[in-house]
Amino acid sequence: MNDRPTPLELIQIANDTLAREVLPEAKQEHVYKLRMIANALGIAARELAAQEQDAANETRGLNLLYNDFKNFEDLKARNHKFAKDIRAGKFEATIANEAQLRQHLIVIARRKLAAAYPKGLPTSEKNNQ
Amino acid sequence: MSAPAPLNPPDTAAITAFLREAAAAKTVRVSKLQLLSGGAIQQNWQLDVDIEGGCHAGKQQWVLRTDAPATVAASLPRSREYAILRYAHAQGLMAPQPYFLCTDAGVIGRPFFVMQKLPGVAAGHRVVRMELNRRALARELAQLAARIHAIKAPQTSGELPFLKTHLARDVIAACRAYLDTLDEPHPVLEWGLRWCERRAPQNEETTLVHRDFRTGNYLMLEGRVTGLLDWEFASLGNPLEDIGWICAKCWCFRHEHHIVGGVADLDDFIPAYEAASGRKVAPDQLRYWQVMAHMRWAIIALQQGERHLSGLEPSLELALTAKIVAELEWEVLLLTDKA
Repeated sequence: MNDRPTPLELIQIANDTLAREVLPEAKQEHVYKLRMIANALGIAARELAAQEQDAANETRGLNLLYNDFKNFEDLKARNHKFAKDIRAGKFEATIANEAQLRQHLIVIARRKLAAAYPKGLPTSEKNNQ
Repeated sequence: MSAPAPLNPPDTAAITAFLREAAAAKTVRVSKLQLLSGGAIQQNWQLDVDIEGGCHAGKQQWVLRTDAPATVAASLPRSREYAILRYAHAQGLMAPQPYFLCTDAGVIGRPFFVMQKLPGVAAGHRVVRMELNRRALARELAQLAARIHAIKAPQTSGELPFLKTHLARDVIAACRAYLDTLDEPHPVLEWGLRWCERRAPQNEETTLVHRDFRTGNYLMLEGRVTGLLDWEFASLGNPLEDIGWICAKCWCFRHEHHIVGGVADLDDFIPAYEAASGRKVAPDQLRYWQVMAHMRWAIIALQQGERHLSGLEPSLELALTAKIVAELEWEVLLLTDKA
């Protein structure tokens, strides 16, 4: 087991230092790249911070859509099967089924957006980020 | 993906020797060779030359266009893009005039061509901040799109026999084929493609399509369009694909209050396109192709990320492009909710 700071804590302090101490003093020609670096660190930090909760939510949502996921060992394998079934139209039998599918997709898309570009979330949700 | 190629800058001496022969010049002196911004897939170099003798004698400002070290599958090879530019320029489609093509990878390490440098600004984030007459610009862009789409498939068969046809189902199939090569599953993108498949038009008109017709790829000077760049995705297809592409939120550069490329409004653009092209664009057709635009850009964004992940072209910018997919997926879900 590694000592603290955790990977997330290190990324966060690196990004804070970049924003507070490096970017304001940076030469104009370096600003674009420094902003990209800050953006990458921000995404990584948000993904790491939400990782466990997101995986749990995603698993719960898939379990609502499927009853027979015991044979799939991990989330990635489940999502492969899920993606394949969407392509094959397996959730289109009833309107209720489609609505349930859509609801799950919204949950996973919102989660990805919250990490990659939180400003893109609906206004009511931004304050929670 | 292409094979690894040497990184820039291209060899000035090799370019000089090539141009001397290609332009039948007595002497050629390269006074400037500078990488231009943009060109996420290809590299564009400003090439200023002083030429003595031949039909290009004098000071010339050109652009040298070549592959980046890694590229994406849908991008045409330079020799084909050169042929399309020649055709599009001759047809008055505001393409830069191409002058010389070098297919010999031995000269600078990869094929390239040299073309006219048109005046103006292309960078999307700058164009959307310009003082613009939005109605006039909407009309100009609509008329330019209509001129491209007036070219029907048979007209191109002589000069551009290699052009592929990408109608709605072809685009869906191509997106799926790419997703199948990836290790990671993409359920939201699968949903978007399935939505497009279930609503794919039964009958589609086939014309020349630019397939990257958007802010960032046309040049603006003093409020007017001065050129249309980046023909590397051009093909035959449904003309509404170009309309959905320029009307997609993802190409508004955060100015989506002007949904036509961040610079103009639908109420001006669509009627102008309908008047210029003679075809109707129903709201559900527009939405269909807006969804498709986000799908196709999501696939290209994943491919850009793959260029980084492949190790051929390590790049933070390419890596971050893959993260844009989250926004595109969200927009696909919003757009399809209205259906």
